Amino acid sequence: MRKRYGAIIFMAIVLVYALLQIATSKRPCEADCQLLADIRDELVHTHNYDNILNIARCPYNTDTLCVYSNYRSGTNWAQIADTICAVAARHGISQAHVFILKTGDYPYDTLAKTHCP
Amino acid sequence: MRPSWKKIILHIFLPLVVGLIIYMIVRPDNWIVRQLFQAASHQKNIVTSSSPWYARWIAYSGSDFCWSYSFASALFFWKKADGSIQWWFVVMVVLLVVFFELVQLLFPTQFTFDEVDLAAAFGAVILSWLLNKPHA
Repeated sequence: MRKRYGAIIFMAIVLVYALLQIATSKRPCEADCQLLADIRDELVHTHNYDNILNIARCPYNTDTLCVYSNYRSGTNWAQIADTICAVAARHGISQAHVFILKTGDYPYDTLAKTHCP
Repeated sequence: MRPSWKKIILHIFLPLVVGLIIYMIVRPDNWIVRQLFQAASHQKNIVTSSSPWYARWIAYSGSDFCWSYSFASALFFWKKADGSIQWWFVVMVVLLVVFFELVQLLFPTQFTFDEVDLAAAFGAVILSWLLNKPHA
């Protein structure tokens, strides 16, 4: 009886730890993904571009940053593209092509594009 | 030998709470926070890829260290209540935490294996054993 009780406690400890590990394990985001997430963080929190949803390398062209954004009328997209270049340069990404894409409809509309210095 | 409540709180519950604080405050953009607090999930991560290495270690592996320490302490207390901690039991606890880290390699789309987490978990078990072994 005592042994069975002990085994249940042991299993409970292992189970709690396993659940904690599953719930809190880092989701896949390699170094470049983290870098792009940091760039988005800075644009959203420092520059208040809270309509930028995600930044990723464009498919088939890793020199190009695809910036996925909600459309908001009256926004100066060219200025946002320049700011993205400046922030990306601070994070070590220079001479990238930047495409700001309007999310919602597919294929995405291009709101602005630029070639960073 | 039954451990005192003070030791249980210090070696099991305190590391759990510290791990949770690191997980939810230092790195709020995570799954648990997103489920519990919608607003908090939009907070900026305090630590970024340009932060110093020790800040990144605390943010990304600190909670793993705390939870592995808590887990190992719970198992060592469990074993001590029934007798002493033999070397094979320490090896078994190490293998368990190593297993929980390595198993993530099998599911690359759901989890990220991190060798720093593995080292943190290993270190946590060893530290827990050193602090909880008899006469420590």
